[in-house]
Formats: sequence, C-alpha cells, structure tokens
Amino acid sequence: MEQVGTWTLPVLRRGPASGTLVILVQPLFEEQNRCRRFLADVGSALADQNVGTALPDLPGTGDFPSAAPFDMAEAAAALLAFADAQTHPARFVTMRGGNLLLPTGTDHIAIAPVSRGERLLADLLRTHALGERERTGGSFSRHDAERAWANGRTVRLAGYDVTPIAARALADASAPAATSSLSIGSGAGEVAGPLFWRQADPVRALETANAVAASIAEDLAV
Amino acid sequence: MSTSPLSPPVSQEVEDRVRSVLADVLSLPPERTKAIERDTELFGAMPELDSMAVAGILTELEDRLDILIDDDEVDGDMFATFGALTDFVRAKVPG
Repeated sequence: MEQVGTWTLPVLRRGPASGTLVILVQPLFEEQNRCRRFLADVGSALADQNVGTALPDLPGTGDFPSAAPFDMAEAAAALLAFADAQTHPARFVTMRGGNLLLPTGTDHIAIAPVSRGERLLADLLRTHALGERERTGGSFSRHDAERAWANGRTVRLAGYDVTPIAARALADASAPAATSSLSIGSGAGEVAGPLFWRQADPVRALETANAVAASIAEDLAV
Repeated sequence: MSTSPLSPPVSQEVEDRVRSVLADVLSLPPERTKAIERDTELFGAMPELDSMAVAGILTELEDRLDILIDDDEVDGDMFATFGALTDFVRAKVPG
C-alpha cells in the first residue's frame, strides 16, 4: 500500500528503484481483471531488463480498499498524483481503456488501446445484455440503462456499479494520442498473443508479455 | 484486433476474418482453427463460447470488418454454426 494524497493505493512494484519508472495503467472495468496478470508479467519482464515498474490499483478498481463505485475523474486524479509523487521520471504505459484516464497531450505507450470511451461503454452494455439473456432469458437494452441513468440511478453492468456520472464520463472520454502503440493479436504487425480482455478465463502468455516488454524497453531507450 | 477494414472484402476474406476473430477471442490453437468448416457447430459445442465471448466476438467483428451489429439481431441461430455466423457477417458487409 502506498499513500498518495488522500488515497491509499495498492501498488505492485518490480525492478530497480532507480532510472525511469514505468507506470502500468490497467484497463477499466472487467477488462482490468482479465489483463492484470498479463500486466504483472510485463512488469516482471521489464524488471528483467533493468526497468522499474509500478502497477497501481486506482480508486474503485482491483484491490483498492473501498467499495465505492469507479469514478473516472477520481481514478485519473489518483493516477496523476501517483506519477507526481515518484522521485524518478515516470512514463505511462496503458492497456486498453487505461489511456482514457490520461490528460490530453500526455506521452504514453498504449497496448491494444481503445480510443473512445463510448466503445467501452457499448461493450459493457452488450456483455451485460447477452449475459442477462443467457441467465434469465430476459431482455436488457441500452435504452433501459440510459433511462435509469437519466433518473439518477446506478446500473450494475457485468458485475460493476456504473453511476450516471461514470457512464457520462466514460461516454465522453477520448484518449490522447499515444507516443507509440502496440497491438496484440494474430494479424500482421501485431504482437502475437490472445485477446486477454475478451476472455472470461484468460490464458497466461509469457511470450507475449516478454515481446511487449521488449518493445517498451526499446521505446524507452530512444 | 487492429486489422484494417477491407473495402469491400470478398467472400473468402470475410470467412477468413470471421475465422481469425474466433481464433483470437477464444484462443483456439491453430489446428482447431484450421479444422473449422461451414458446418462446425459453435454455441453449445465450443466450451469457450459463453455470453462474454459472444460479446467480444461481435465487437471484434465490428472493428475488423467495419460493420455494425444490433444486439437485437443476435440469436442462437446466428452462432449455431460457423457457416451461419459467416453468412450473417457477409450480409452486413457492403459490396
């Protein structure tokens, strides 16, 4: 646990405490759970290359000690406060929608980025709707969620409480341009690996983590 | 995941992209991916294919083929076989 401003953040650190620190910014909502082990493996692989890394759990995510629903503004503020509190230069490496927490103009390396929060919100709604249909046979649509948010009610989507403020913030969020971007998949020019963020039970992919870490280390050296 | 949309994809390319989406989202090994044919059963036959995976497949198909899929269009028949899924996607692709 590390105290940053008013927040007590669980932080997984790897590698040396000197030199540039890579802050690994996790995806949002359920994608975070599916990508956490991968990012921890990326951190270990970077540590093997003598690069220090930190993987914080921001407010409303992971092991952060509060049951309060995720709030993008608070998570973004805590992330920036965490970066400011470091004694060495810090670089952000984001995965999926983690980039949506960064202010415009922030240098970062993006792994499998999502450029617009609206896409993530649509994904959350779709996952919830299909899950509801499978579990109960009932129907759920985006219209149902929007009506609830318009009435000030929180909607539980795929296991997460999404407040009206969080839904609006996510829908309006767009990511700053990345310094460099890494895609994962089986296509040409992509780092070979599974789409962890799409899998209920993600496989471990150390080779993918090593390849991503090597690319990040190369970027940092430039 | 970042494969650029074709404009317009030809029939075989649509099938190849649907196959690669299934392989990437479900982490299918190459031998299982290659063995997928039109009559290969999907939902109910592939244990990896739960509702979360279905959502992921739909979103990846939208991204890679530059199409839009309304959730109301999604039913069990669409994911019954690889051929049914491919036909559904092909009908969405312009050209």
